[in-house]
This record gives sequence, structure tokens and C-alpha cells, in this order.
Amino acid sequence: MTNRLTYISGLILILITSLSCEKVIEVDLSGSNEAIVIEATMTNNKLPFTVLVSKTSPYFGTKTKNPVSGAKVSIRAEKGKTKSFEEISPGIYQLKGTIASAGFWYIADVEYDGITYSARSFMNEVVPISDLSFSYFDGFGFFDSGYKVNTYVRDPASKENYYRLKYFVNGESIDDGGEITLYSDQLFNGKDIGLGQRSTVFQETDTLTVELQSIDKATYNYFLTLENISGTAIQQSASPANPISNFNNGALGYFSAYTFDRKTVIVSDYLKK
Amino acid sequence: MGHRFLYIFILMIMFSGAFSQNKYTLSGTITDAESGEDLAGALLSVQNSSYNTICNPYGFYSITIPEGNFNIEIQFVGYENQVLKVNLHSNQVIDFTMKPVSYELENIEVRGKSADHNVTSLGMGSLKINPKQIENIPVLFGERDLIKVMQLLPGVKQAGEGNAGFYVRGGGLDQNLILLDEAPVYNASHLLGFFSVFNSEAIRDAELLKGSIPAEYGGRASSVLDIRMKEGNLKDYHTTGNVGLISSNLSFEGPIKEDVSSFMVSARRTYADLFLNFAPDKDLREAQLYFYDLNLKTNFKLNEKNRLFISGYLGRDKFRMEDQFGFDWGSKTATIRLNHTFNEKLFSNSSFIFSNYSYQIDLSGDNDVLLGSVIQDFNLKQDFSWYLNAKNTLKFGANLIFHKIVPGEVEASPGSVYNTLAVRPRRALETAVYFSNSQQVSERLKIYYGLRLAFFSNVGPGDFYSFDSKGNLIKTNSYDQFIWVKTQGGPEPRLALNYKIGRDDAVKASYNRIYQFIHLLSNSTSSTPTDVWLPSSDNVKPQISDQWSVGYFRNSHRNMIESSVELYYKNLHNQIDYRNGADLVFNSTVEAELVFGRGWAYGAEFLFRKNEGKLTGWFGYTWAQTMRQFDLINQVDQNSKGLSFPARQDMRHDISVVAMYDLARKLKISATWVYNTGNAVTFPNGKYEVDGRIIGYYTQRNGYRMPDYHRLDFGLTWIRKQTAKFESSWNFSVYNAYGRENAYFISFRQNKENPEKTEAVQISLFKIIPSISYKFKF
Repeated sequence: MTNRLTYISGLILILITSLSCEKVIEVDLSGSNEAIVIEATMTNNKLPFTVLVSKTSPYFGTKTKNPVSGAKVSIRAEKGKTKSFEEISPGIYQLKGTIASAGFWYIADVEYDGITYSARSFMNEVVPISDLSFSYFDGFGFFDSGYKVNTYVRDPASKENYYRLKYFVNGESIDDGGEITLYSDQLFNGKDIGLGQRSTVFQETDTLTVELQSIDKATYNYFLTLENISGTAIQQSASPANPISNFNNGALGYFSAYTFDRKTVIVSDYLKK
Repeated sequence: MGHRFLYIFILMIMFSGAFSQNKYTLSGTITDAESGEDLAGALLSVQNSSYNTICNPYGFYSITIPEGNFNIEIQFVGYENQVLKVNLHSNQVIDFTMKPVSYELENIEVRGKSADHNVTSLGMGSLKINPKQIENIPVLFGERDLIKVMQLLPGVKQAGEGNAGFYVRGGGLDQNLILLDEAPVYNASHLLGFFSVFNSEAIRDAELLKGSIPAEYGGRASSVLDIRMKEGNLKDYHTTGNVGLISSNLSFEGPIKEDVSSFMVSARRTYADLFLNFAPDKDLREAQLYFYDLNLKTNFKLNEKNRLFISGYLGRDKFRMEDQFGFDWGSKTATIRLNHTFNEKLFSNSSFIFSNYSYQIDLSGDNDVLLGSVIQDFNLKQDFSWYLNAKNTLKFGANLIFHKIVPGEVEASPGSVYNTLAVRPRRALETAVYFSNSQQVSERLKIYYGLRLAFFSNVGPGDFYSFDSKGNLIKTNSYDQFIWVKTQGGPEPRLALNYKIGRDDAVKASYNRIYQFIHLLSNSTSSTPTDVWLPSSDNVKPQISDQWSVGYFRNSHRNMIESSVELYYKNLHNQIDYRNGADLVFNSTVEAELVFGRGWAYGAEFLFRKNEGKLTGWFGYTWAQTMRQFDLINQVDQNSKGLSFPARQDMRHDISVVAMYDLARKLKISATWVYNTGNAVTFPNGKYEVDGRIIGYYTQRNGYRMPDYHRLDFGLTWIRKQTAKFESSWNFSVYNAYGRENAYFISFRQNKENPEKTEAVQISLFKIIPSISYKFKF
């Protein structure tokens, strides 16, 4: 909800500051010590569990990826057996053929250079997409016209739920205007609700896949604080800080054990209904 | 502490009164001869002596002097001096009226408000501005704004390009007590900060106190901006209007009953949204985006001894996009006050004050839901001024404020997909009592000593929370109505002295302690409509500031040129920041998200000011440093204590030059130039990839600097017509005349063509903004 407020304030700012101009400038940024970055995800689906390990690099450096090879990566359920990952290419570690169940805590360990970085994540039950609906958006100002999708869920009343929505057009992931679509059920616990999206619009011929991830609170907080320092630059935070990681020992990144549901439709098919 | 202070206080007054001879009191009012309005701040002095006094904000003066024959001189900026022979052999009441300086007289020497006030007063770091004086200073969009002029003074820093928010001597945006006719204004800006809520046509005068803050003020740690509305002409009706490019205002004033009661009403509205009519897009054409202000004031002389004032302010910003959403915010204030003169020495002011700030977001379009927040005060205030004798002026009084804060509320209609959610309102009682004395110890030495006892009590009904060290909620304690939960506060000593070295120079020093009990939580670079005020509680200690300052003040060229150097050191305790990712709005346990630390600031301020002649204006320079330290911010690793870092408003050098020149009798030109080194800002030190996007890696809070800022503005006022019946003038101004692209902010992003590349992008707001406005008065 706070994001929405920021969004509205941003809109007003766009309106008044249409007089503004932007230019690329040179900024002298001093280097810093490299920090380790871990992006670890696992689901209850058949997808392989993937852990990406890398390091930070100078901001204006040409190298975006700075993969870390030779780390020892493993995942275990809280009271389960440790499963080790295999490095399939530099910095990419995978575990195939293992299925995790919802309702448990999982622990990811990444050992590198004598330090073990650990994080815990709780895998919530799947919350299915009950329906999708489309509404036509006229567009205004800088915003294009087209269809926007609403993703309906029956939010389980018994507990706190956190969602992340991802959208794919013709199989390609799109970033919803660089924004991360996150919801906490704080304001709609136990209700049937349509979760909206933001900037992107879809056209009639698009084949759209909506992925509804049921994530835990730590993952939600990570992406919420990640969004504060990425996405649209309007209304930038006055004191940007690194996102809140669930890894210890100063690692950047996150570990998310999540479940998801997907629905695919062709926009025009839906409209005929 | 309190008792000891009281004892010393009584002792000092007794001591100073010990040599009394036959003395009598001269008292009365000083008013404008044409409009009948009070002249607060007018100086009354006894020629060839050191006796003088200044009219209080209600135009009342009182002075006690030895028996004899005197020449009494009264002076006020913009008015002709007056000298009156007085044979004082008993207590006397004399009401003075002063004639405003007419334009024909302009070349005659016009002494400013007590020409040597800069040197003789106890005030340090204080500045009074009346809208007339600044009429010719160029401004953004042609909208005259007192706050923007204040920002051109040493020690006051603007909160971003074109912004009405300000920082005083290293204090926070929320540490300024902004009063409109005694009512605190919680959000003093419109349209995301580009305009202040103070319509200058409705304002009589404004005074900013940044150094020595007298004991009658309290509640904000860094400064006081005391703004008084016009009272209304007691003799004639007048209409004043301004037509500008983006806003217009219209004011009307006059007597209800001549010399007994009067009124003033002033309205302003922007019409920026009219431009939207030209937009190609239908939704944009139908969008609303404007603000309005309404100021009202009326006063009644009930009889010789009593005078009643009623004033009010209402202002609101509105933003609406079709039925999709609406967003509006604004303040309301109301003040009812009674001046009572007990006798020639004792003056009282009783006020009842109401203040309210709220915002509301209407998402009825898709979701049938209203979001909102309110902060509301009821305030009772009693002040006494006791002009005890020639050497002592006592002030004492009490203040009682009932605060109610609704941090966030979601109101969903029954069919809505959202649940109704209310973060329970917080209620609190702020109380203060104070007394002070300003005492002429000797011919050369004047001292001021005061004590304010300020307390803040959280009261039921409400929920209060206990947290563990990690910020997890352990327990919720619910309290019923009228239950006292927690009281905090303490004594606030206020001291000042003025030692006159020679006829034209003086050394001044002051010390203040101030408690601040309500705090603004904001993570944006300027104030925004959705800022949340948070009261102190069992989890939040009050902010405390201690400020020491010394200064050297000198006037030259028969008081035509004022100069001063001031040094200050300020210590700020219990400063508030919050954890990364905190939800500040719809969060009943927001206190768990807070982190506490300390701050300190020091600096030197230089001001040269020329108040008379064809060329007037000032040159100001500030050197300053502002730091903060929090255990949980800017840590090297999770287990170490956070390193100190420069505050956002930290800025080493700041120069402002303001010049106004009377080219001809009907043509005035002006220019301002500002320069400052960049303020502190956080930039990434490295980058990495997560979730398919490039993210900045941050290691130091405010470790970098924005580029230097500088800007030149021009203004020209052409008086078309000036007769007793009708006046009109045109004003042209150019903001940022040489088109400097000053950085509003700098963001870091992936290059659009080549996402592998990262770049820094500077956003600048206003390049060259010309504007024109027309003013008329009849």
C-alpha cells in the first residue's frame, strides 16, 4: 500500500515536473570491498533448485556478472537431510530431481572462502489463481493504452500471506515497468481479491502467463526493500540502503522457498468469453 | 533544578529593583495611523537614555522610567519617526499612531525598525520580515513566498529546488515550529513543496528565531517561525489582487465598525490544471490538480481593556484523475484570543487554538476504499507580560495542548475487496509552564533568563506496545480513556545576554534547551503529503536540543549597514531514523521500526545588510557542518556500532546575495544569487545482479556530495499607477536566469540500449522560468 502512495505521489511529480530535464553525468565513485551475493530459490514444483553465487563489482565497470566458482552449496529441510548442489557453469549451482513440500522451513548454506552464509525460508502452501480478468486502460500522459490484468485469489484467512506476481508474454518474462509486484494481505486478509498490476499493458494477440508466487515474509521484505532502490527513479529514496537479506554474515541477496500457480490465456480469447 | 532556578530568579529581580527611585509607567498602544492596525515590533525609546521597549505582538507597550521630562521617540520600519515631549509625573497611557512613509518621502532618510535594534536587542539569530519589504525579490513562478525569502538567510537551508521546506542550523525538517497566529502548522507546503501555505497577501509579518529562543516558545528543537496574519484596516475598505501565471489571489479588508472592529479575508487558488486542458489526452484534460488557501481574521476592541481576535486558515491541495483516484491534503487552523490589559504594567493574552492536518486518498474507482491520516491539536495558552520596572520585563504563562494523531486509516465500503483497518489513534497531552525576565543589569549589559518546564503525557484510550531488542512485538497494552500512560519531559533553561561594547557594536551569547515530543517520519528528500507524525511514548524518547551561540554585531554608517558574525554549536539527542524497508503509514507497531541516535551541528554565519537608500539587500555566508550517529545505521558489519555520517542537510559553504535597487521612482529592479556546495547523499559503491536486474551496492550513508548549486534570479517591478485611490503594478521575474542545470537528484540505472552498462543520471527541474504578475489595490 505504501508503494501505491509513492506511485501516486510520483504521478503528481511527473505532472508538475514535465519541465525537468535529465542528462547522463560523470560521478566519481570510490571502489569498495567486494561482497558476496547469493540468489537462492526453490519451489515445490519439478523445477531444479538454483543458487546463483557472485560478487559485487565496481559500479561503472564493464563487467556485470562476477560469478563465484567453487562454493559449496547445500539445502536442507529444517530436520531433513542435507542435499548438495552441483556447479553447472561458473557461479550457477543446481540441484535436480528433488521435490520439496510446502509447510516446512528450509535452510540454505553457501560456503566460500572459509565463511558459511546461511539463510532460512518458509515454504507456504500454494494459493491458486482463481480467475483472471482484463480491463481496458485508456492510457494517459506517458502511459500506453491496452489491457491490464487482474489476478484473483481467495486469500487464506488463517494466516499472513505474501504474494509476488510475475508476468510472461509469449513465454518472455516482462518486468512490469521495472517494478516488482508485491502484495501483503494486511489489508485484505481472508477476502477474494483481484491483484492488479502497474505500468505494463497487454494487447489482444498476446499470450499471457501470470505466475502467482506465495512467498514468505523474509522474501517479501527483501523484494520490498529491493524495489526501493530500483525501478523508476522518480521519488528515489533519500537514504538508499541494501535490501534486507535473510542471509547472515553480510551476504547480499536472498533465499526464497516458495510455491506458485500459473495461468496462461490469450487476451482475445478471454475477451470473447 | 527547577527550584534552584526559581530562587536565583527571584533573587535577581529583587536585587535589580533595590535602587528604585520615583518611577512611573508609560503604557499604551502603537498603531498605523491609516489602517488602525497594531504595529508589533515598533520601538519606543527615551532620547538621551538607555531606556527603550518594543511593542509586543498585539501592539501593546509599557515602560517604567524615573520621573521627569522626556522626549519619547517611536520608530518602525516603513513609518515616519515621531518624537513626543512627555512630562512624566504619574502613570500615563499614551496611544501612538504612526504614519506610513509615502513614496514621495522615500528619499528622506527612513530609519528601520529601531535603527540600532541589531545591536541593542537580546535577540540572536532572529529575523523579522514583512511582506512589503520583500515585494521586489524575484521568485519562482512569480509567487511571493515568505519562506523562500527566509531561505536566503544564513543558517537556513532550502529542502531542495524550489521547495518550501527548510532546515535551520543542522536541525531536521520537523524541528521548525511554524506558527500561524499561534496555531502550529504541521505541513506548511503545497503541491509537493513548491509553494508554502502562506499567502503573502494575508500576512502581516513573520519572524524566524534560530538562535536565542525565548521561553514562551517550545515544542520544536531547532527554530520558531512565528507568522502573524493581517488584522484588517480599521478605517477604510481595501481590495487587493494579484493575477499571476499559475495562481491568483484576492483580499478584502476593512472596518466592521470604524476604529472598533475590522476584518480581513484573503483567498488564493492555483490554476495549474488549466494547462491540462491543452493536453492531447482526454483523461489528462479532465484531471484536477490545484490548491487553494483561505485566510480570515477579525478583531473587536471590546472596551479599553479588552480586545478579541478571531482568525482562521483553511488550505487544501486536490488531485483527481477521473474516477480512478483522488488525493487531497491540507491544514485547518483557528485561533481565538483575548488581549486583556490589567493595568499599565500587566498585559495578558489568552488563546484557544485549533490545528488539523489531514490527507485522504480515494481509490473508489476500482476498490471502494479511502485511506487517510489526521493530526489534530486543541491548544489552550495563557501568556502574561509584566513590565515590572525600568529594568525588568517578566513573561510567564502556561500552555496545554491535546494532540490526537490517527497515523493511518483504511475505510473500505461494505462491498469493497479491502478490509477496514485503523491504526488506533494516539492521544497525548503536552503541557508547559514558563517564566522569564529580561533585565538591564547595567548601561552596557542586558541579560535574559527564563525557564520552561515542558511535559508530554500519553493518555488513553489507546494501545501501547512492548518490543524485544530485535523489534518483535511482545505485548500489547490497551489503556482506557483518561488513563495516564507515560509522562516525559523536563526543564528547558533559556539564557541570553547582550553586552554593548561601544555605541555601535555588541557581543551577544545565548543558550537554549528545547524538548520536542512529536516527530516526523519521512524518507523523502522533502516533505510529502503522506508524512506521518509520531508522538513520543514509552518506546520513543523526546528529541532534545542544546544550542550555544555567540555573536558579534556591528552597525555602521549611522545604522544603515548592519553586520554580524554568529557561531553556534548544537547538540541533538534522541534523533530518530528507521530501519530499512519500514512501513510507516499503515503500521500500528511503527515504533518497532525506529532506531535512535544523536546529532550535532556547528557553524559560522556572516551577514551584511543594507537597509536604506536606493540600493538595499544583503550578503550572507554560512560555513556549517551537520552530523548524525546511530548505532544501527552506517555499520561496517552487523555487530559494530554505526559510524557517524553527515546528515542529508549537511552543506559546507552557502552564499546568498540579495540586491534591490530603485532605478526610478516607479521602477525597481532586483537580483538574487545563491551558491552552495552540494549536500550529502548516498550513492552506490558497487553493483551486482539479482532477479535479472542490476542493483547498486551501498556501503556508506551519505558518503557522497551532490554537485554545487548556484542560480541567479532577476526581478523588475513597474508601478503603473499610484494614487490614493488606486495602485497597480506589474512584476516580471526570471528564475534561474543563466539556465544552470542544477541537480534535483541523481539516480543510477541501466543504460536503455545496453543494459550491461550502468550510468548516473542527473535530473534538473527548472531551467529558465520567466513569470509575470499584475497587482492592484483600491
